[in-house]
Amino acid sequence: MKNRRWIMLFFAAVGILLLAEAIIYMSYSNKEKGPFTITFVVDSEELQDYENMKAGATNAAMDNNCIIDFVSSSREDKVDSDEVVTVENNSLYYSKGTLTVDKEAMVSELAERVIASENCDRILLVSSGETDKYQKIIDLFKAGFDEAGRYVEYRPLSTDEKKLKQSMYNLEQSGLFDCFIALDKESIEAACEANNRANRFVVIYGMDNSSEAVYYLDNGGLEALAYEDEYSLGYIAVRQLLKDREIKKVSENRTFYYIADRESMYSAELEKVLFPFVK
Amino acid sequence: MRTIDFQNQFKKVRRASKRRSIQLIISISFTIVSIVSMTFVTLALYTTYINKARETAIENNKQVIDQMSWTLNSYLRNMMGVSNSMYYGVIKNLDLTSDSMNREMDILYEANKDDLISIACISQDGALISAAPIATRKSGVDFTEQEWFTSTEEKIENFHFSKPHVQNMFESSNYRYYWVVSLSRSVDLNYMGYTRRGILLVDMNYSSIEQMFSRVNEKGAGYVYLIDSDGDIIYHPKQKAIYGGLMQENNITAASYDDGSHMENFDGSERAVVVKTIGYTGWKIVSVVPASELSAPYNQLRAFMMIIFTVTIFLIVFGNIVISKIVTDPIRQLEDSLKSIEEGSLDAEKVYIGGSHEIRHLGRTIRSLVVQMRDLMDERVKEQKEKRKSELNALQAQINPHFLYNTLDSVVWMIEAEKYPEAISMITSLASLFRISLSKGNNIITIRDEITHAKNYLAIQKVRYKNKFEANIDVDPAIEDCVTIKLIIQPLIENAIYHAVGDLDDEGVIDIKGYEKDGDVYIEVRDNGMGIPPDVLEGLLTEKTKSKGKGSGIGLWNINQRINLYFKNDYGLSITSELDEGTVATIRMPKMTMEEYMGGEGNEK
Repeated sequence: MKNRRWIMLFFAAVGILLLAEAIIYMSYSNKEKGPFTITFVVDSEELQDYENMKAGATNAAMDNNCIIDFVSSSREDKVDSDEVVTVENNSLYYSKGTLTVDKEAMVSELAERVIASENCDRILLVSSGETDKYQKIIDLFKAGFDEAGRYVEYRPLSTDEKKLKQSMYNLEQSGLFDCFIALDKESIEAACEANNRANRFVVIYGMDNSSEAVYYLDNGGLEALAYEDEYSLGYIAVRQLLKDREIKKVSENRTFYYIADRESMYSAELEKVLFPFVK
Repeated sequence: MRTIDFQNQFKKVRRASKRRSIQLIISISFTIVSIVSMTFVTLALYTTYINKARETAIENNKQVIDQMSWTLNSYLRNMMGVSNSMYYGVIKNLDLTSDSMNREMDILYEANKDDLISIACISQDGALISAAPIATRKSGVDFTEQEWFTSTEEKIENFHFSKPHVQNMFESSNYRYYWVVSLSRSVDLNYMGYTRRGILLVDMNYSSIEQMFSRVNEKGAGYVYLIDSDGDIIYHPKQKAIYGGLMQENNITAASYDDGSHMENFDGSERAVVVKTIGYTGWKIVSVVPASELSAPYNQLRAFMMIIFTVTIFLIVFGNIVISKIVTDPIRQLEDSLKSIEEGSLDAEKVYIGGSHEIRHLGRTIRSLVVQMRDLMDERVKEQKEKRKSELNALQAQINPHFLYNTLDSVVWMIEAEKYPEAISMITSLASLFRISLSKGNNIITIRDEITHAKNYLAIQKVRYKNKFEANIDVDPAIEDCVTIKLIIQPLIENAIYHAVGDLDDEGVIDIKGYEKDGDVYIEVRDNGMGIPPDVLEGLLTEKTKSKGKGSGIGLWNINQRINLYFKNDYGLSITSELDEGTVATIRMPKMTMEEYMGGEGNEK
């Protein structure tokens, strides 16, 4: 009778132990399943404009069982992922913090180049269409140029391509300005094309990440190009979300932009930045 | 306080360890042996398995790298073949002034355009001689400053493979730039019969290399990258991050590794590295797998093994406890039986017989020993009892010689005084006294015979004491056939005469009374003498008390012992006395007829 009690106790204890082990085993197995998902919600429908950022994010997610997705803000409510990164005006907001291009430094460096140029006394800031996302840059430029005693004006031009090109041509022909700083791809393109047609030469600077902008830099249309390092933004954001302790040191004091000109664009450092691999 | 408590606890443990039971020894020994063996076997198997798995993973990696090496080698050889075809098939055979060169170059380009970006022939001074596909040379670009040009000029006998770069030779109208690896060689150009040196440039499409490596890097843990002989990266899945300073790679060290597998420690983590050199170029394919990933597929196995290990240990411990308990329980029960024997319980039926064959044999043996012991002890007790009886009987059988002398003296003076009837009466009484004393050697007689013996004794003593005292006998006839031990009343009468009424002048009375009460027989001998002092009364029934000079010397102790011997200790002699009033000696015996006494062996009375 006494032995039977021991035996029953034994089987009960084994049962409890097996149950506990099974729970541990299954929860361990659960950890193996299911990738970690990170979704970038961008403030544009043109997702192809974020290829560099996506490349950086994807590279950072390699070998970490992590899936990266880019969606526009119109589909934000359908997003269901472990982490969400909001991209607004090329600034990233996420649970671990914020990453943003040091626009002040970028504008300051470009402005210095412009000021250093002998032929840039009257400067025009142009963009295709008016949008708030350039306001900060415009204010920084104005402050910088005012301080240097240069005349600076901002004109938002048409978003229509034909009208834009025509406006640009007219402006260049007018002789009112001897330096343009184009703030987007469309205005860069229009300015460079107009420069080819116009009878006078206007110094053109650009601020854009497109391959078109790189092309115009390469073919001499642009004097210099301010290029935001979206690849690094995406990479660092994902590494931080994946709890990479080393990445914090890397991201400190990083400005996330480059200023390239024709001489430096094919250097080892900038070549890989400006010319993303195209298949 | 804490120190003292620890010391006390330690002492308790030490004491407990010294009281090791068989069960504890068996449990602990078996458990330790089982756990040690199992741990050893588990660790050995696990370590061997994991190492084997690692080696297998590395071997698989090597095979993949070998395959990649073969593919890349084929690609590079193909490109070199294109260059050779262009050189030996076209350039060497044609003059620069001929239009055929462009056409041949186009044909060759078209045949290989999936892998090529362009083919170009450049003169020694940097002039573009021919190119396919046809394109406008980019203005402001000096070919002589490009790395592929300068390295070819340095060593004109070899093929040169450049690092990957963006092709910066021709104008592009579609905003596209191509990453290429330039294969360049020095060639002899024929110009109007003169030989001039030039450079044949084949720009390989970097995407071909990228696709080769991407396919491998898509799956599994780790990655594969390509470096040149100096360690500079040609392809790396994260090369942009590396060049952007976002991460580091151990490429320079990898360039120094021989072909084969190596373990390295980089950035705080251990990695397995497999290196394979591509023949002509000196490039190295490097495969990197974190050491943790090598055994990652076996993490579940590890968890499973840990589960099995803990469950098995639990089963072993529990099983050992149960089994040792089952084995040692019979021993413990046998031990308990021995303890009860030690405490005096000789009940053989209580000795435990059970368990294994050996324990059962032990139990049976002990039981047999207990039975023998008990029998021996009973026999000894019986012997002692018989011996005591014999001693007491022998004592009892002694007749006080003074009584005989005096009685015979009395008979003599009676005869001398011609008091023949009195003499005859005394002799008759004496004869009857002796007859009952002997009782044919029986120690148990009827109360009737014992009273007759007392009467004979009284008759003799009354003559001797000249009727100084009076004796009354009142015995219930219902008990006259009951048994008694012989010679127990006469000594009491003797004591009463000698110590109580003998010295009184015609006032002494001895009453002898026999009756039944509560199933027992009582015989009282009462006198009205001076009584017995309490301190004397206390020691009357002890062995060492001897009669002072008078009496048969048998003693009250003798009477009591004989009653206890023949009957139980509940029966015996008791004496009560009041000073100046008298003494009562009471005999208590069980009421038993002769038939009952003779037929009752084992009679509890």
